[in-house]
Amino acid sequence: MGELSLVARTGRVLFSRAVQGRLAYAKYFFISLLGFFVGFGLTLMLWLYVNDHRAGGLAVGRDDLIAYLALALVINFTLSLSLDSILSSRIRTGQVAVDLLKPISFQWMYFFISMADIVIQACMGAVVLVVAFFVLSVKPLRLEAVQMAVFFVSLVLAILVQYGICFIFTLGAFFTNFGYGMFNLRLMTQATFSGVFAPLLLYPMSLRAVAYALPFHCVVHTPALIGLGWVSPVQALPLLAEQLAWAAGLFAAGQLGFRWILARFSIQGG
Amino acid sequence: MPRNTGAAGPAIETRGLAKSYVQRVVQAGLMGSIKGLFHAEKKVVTALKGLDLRVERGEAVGLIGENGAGKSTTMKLLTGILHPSGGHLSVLGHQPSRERKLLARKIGVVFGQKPQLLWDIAVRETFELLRVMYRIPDAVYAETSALTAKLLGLEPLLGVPVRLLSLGQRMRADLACSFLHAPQLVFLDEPTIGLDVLAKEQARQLIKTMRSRFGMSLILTTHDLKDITDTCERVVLLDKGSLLFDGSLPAFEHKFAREKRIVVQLERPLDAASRKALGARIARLGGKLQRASGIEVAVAYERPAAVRGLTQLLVTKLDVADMAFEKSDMESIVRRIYGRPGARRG
Repeated sequence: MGELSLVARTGRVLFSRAVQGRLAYAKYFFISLLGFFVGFGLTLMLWLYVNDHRAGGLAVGRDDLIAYLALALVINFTLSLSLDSILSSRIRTGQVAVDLLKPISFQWMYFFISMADIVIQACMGAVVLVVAFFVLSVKPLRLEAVQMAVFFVSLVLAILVQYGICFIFTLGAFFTNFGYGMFNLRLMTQATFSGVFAPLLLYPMSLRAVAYALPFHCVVHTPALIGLGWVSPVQALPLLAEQLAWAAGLFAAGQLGFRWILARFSIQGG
Repeated sequence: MPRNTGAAGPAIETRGLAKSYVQRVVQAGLMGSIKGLFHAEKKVVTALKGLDLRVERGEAVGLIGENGAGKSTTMKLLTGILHPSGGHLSVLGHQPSRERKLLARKIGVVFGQKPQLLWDIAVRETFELLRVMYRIPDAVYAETSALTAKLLGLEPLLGVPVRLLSLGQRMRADLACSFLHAPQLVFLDEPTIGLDVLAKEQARQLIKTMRSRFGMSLILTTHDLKDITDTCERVVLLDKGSLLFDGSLPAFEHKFAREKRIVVQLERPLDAASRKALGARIARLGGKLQRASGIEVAVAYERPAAVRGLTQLLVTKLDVADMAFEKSDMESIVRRIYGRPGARRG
């Protein structure tokens, strides 16, 4: 209980310090936002072109496709973490030694720091979503209270899954001493299998099977399905269970992996 | 009343502590780097070879040694961020690598080139974070934060974002961070690196004050040996991962600092021929002309019996304006130990 309360109290302060730190570089978020609009615009144009020129259209209707892409890209934008770059740079320079001397869990410490990214990006993402839906004349989502609650739970679980994935990939920097390769690997794999650039429904069967076997779809595709009301709250329950299982599994794997790595690898620098 | 002196057992105890790791060796140049992609020689580096060390609670130990002697590795092993390859170690009753978080609450650490300050925000925000993270009681925090701010002159810096501070200001603020929770044991790895003379003095004063107030044990590594003579009672000298000396400062000086010096200021500089002749005469009297540049001449000697003859020689043969007798300082002793491998074991 004492440990939990310490983690919670420290986490609150870490989170607020991290938000302060991010706000010191506010321009960075606006540039990220610009990148988001470019990505969103291109993806949307591409899919609408395919939809309009393909005989019989796509398996997903035009409005549904726009709504899916807007929501999926906003979720992806919101859950983009700077953990990879921050932590891998600290591993490379040996600065991570200072983190290891703190009396709280390394994994939890970086979780709270990462939440700063999510909260700030969520605020911006919400604005983007409203603007995107208004500009593209997509009918607003009309979710009932239960659906909203399920969507919210799914988003929280998506955050945990995303953090678990990022943490494990970042641990790779202990092996490689330079996290850029691991970052690229995660980024490309996640872009392919999370469903951010298309509903998994449009994927070929074999690729879809791989996507469902990996955790990435729990970050974007699952909450997007629930948020758009494409699955009912009852149908969403197994999806939430799957997200929860991945979140717990990835967190435990991150913890074990971190212990294993610490016992075997050297912290760089004198 | 010091609050850390009552606990039982030593602060640190190591037996046969060893650490080795595998290092990739890549050949020089671009081609070497390309070849290294496919085949890199691997060599096992033994950073520490069976270190036996016992530090009592409240004791202050200066850890010295050349670059690569194993000082930082020892620090990392003792703080739990590296796992030992062999041997036993206990720090404040804990096994550091297994009980890292538990131990972290009781120790303070400064890695001189790895600050713990939060880069983007004001210094006081890091202090506040540490207050919560270490669960520092209000009374202790009030005292330690006031002491560190006063002794390190931090008051005007507390509201400044860390990225806007100079290196010296950052170092001072970082040093303060490691003392805020009044730890039982402090590890300071190059704590005065980048500090000017005045700031170094402030840092040493802080270390002494915190030790006397809270009874902290201290392990200090530094290349500025005045840090050690000012704050430690004991010296541990490491050389290529092995213990070369472990004892009190006077014992260290007795063992390694037999050499003393006579320094003479002249009315006018010596010419080359006079310097050569003087050197020969000094050598015959059991001394060594260490330096004769400009108007300063320094003569080193080891045997006390030589001092009378050397003094007479200098006074009679030179136009002496001033004369002083000097003991070797720590820095010159250590320089000599490293510089003369054959003479290392005294």
